[in-house]
Amino acid sequence: MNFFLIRAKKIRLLTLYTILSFFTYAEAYSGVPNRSFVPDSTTTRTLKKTTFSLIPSNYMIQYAGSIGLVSLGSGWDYGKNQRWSTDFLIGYVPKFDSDRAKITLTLRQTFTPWEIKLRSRNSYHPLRTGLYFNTTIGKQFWFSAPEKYPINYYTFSTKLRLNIFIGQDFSHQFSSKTSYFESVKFYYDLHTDELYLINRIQNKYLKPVDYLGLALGVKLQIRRR
Amino acid sequence: MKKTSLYILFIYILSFLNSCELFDIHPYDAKITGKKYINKENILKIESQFSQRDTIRYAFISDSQRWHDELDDFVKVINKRNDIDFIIHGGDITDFGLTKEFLWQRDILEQLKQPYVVLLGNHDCLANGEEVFEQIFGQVNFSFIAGKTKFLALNTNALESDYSNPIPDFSFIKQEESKDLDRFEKTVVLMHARPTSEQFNNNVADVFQYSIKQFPNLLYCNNGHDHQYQEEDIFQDNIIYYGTPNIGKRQFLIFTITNDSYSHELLSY
Repeated sequence: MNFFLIRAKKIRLLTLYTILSFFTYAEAYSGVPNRSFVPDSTTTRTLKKTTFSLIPSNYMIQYAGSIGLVSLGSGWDYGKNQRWSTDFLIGYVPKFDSDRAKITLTLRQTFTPWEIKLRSRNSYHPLRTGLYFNTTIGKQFWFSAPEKYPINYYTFSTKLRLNIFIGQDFSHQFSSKTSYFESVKFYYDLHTDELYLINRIQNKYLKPVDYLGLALGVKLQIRRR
Repeated sequence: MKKTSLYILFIYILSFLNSCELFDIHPYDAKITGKKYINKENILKIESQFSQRDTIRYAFISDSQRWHDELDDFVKVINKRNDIDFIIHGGDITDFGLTKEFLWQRDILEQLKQPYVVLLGNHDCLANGEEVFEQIFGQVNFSFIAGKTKFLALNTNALESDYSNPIPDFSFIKQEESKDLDRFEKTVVLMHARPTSEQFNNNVADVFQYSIKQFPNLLYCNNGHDHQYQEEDIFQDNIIYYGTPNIGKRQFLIFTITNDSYSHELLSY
């Protein structure tokens, strides 16, 4: 009857399942080994590696970025030279001139192709780019227009945004060899979403400052043993 | 000491960047910078400037969503003329209900030399758009008197709401019917979506027509929404509904109301 509701429920369940499965996997691999199963050193190393790849590589805090005033999240770095990163963030939008504050969820995929080593444990990534999906929680926002509207009345979603971004980052390695966090990374992104872009494409009136946004963030990298 | 000054510098840079409005908190953040409550302020201007006038002339535009270039050109065209008293926008100043769309279009309209008022369109209701509209422009139902004519602006976007909100709001209409009776002799009704439109609550279309005809000397109605020029006697009762094209067509209507008649023309630019 109501496809929208069913779909929304499914998405919620899927998200919950994904998050829960992360925990259970991590537990299964990091738990005390079964007595009847004594792993050799290679297996232990593989298991440890798997565990670490499931635990986030970093925690982050971000300012702005069309996903909230302040967002908190965690990320997973992987690939050759940790070029790829997948981040999950929860953002808070104050109510400003509307009736209520909002919470948003973001899934971000970042590609950082080059690293330039600098002096005194610093490094610089001249390019970070990628895209992120952002969804806003709240009844006023819908994935697709409710059934009461004629077909194709509103053909976009008020709930789901796709952003693209381009930016840079600097990172600094801590001198301590045993601290929980091994380095700190500062990044900035210039971003826009599909609705801002549609507005821009149709109008030369809009200037970059109108449809581009700036986001600032700090990532704390967790030490890998 | 060095650290403290570094922090201070950092805070300065942040607040500078913030003032540049480079940071976008959220597309629907309702973070309104700049002018607010525009309808109220402009209505005061219209009511005081033209109170003694027998003849008034206004431009009626509508549906400027995502047509920033065309709206900007319209403002330039109108600013070159000095015979237009005020401008009425029939609604849909945003396409997606984004906060920034409201601000972009407001900033274009703010370049007008003459006062203007904006009605609520169905696209302006999306997400938290109506809340933003009320802050920037004002009430969704309002009225003002120019010369000897009362302009009654009504929210008719019933499809955007449910039964918890009366649309059209008959208690507002009733209340306006007897208000300031000594100050006006004629009435014009303004709306975004006209009766028979899919947005309108057509179950009460006849009741709506009946109640607006209770006003002193109802001349005609103005509507937007359909993105085309319309001149139609919908209820076969000699009350004409004039629909204005969307601003993307680079067209708008000009109405002139004199002591004993009115006229209109369709302009292209």
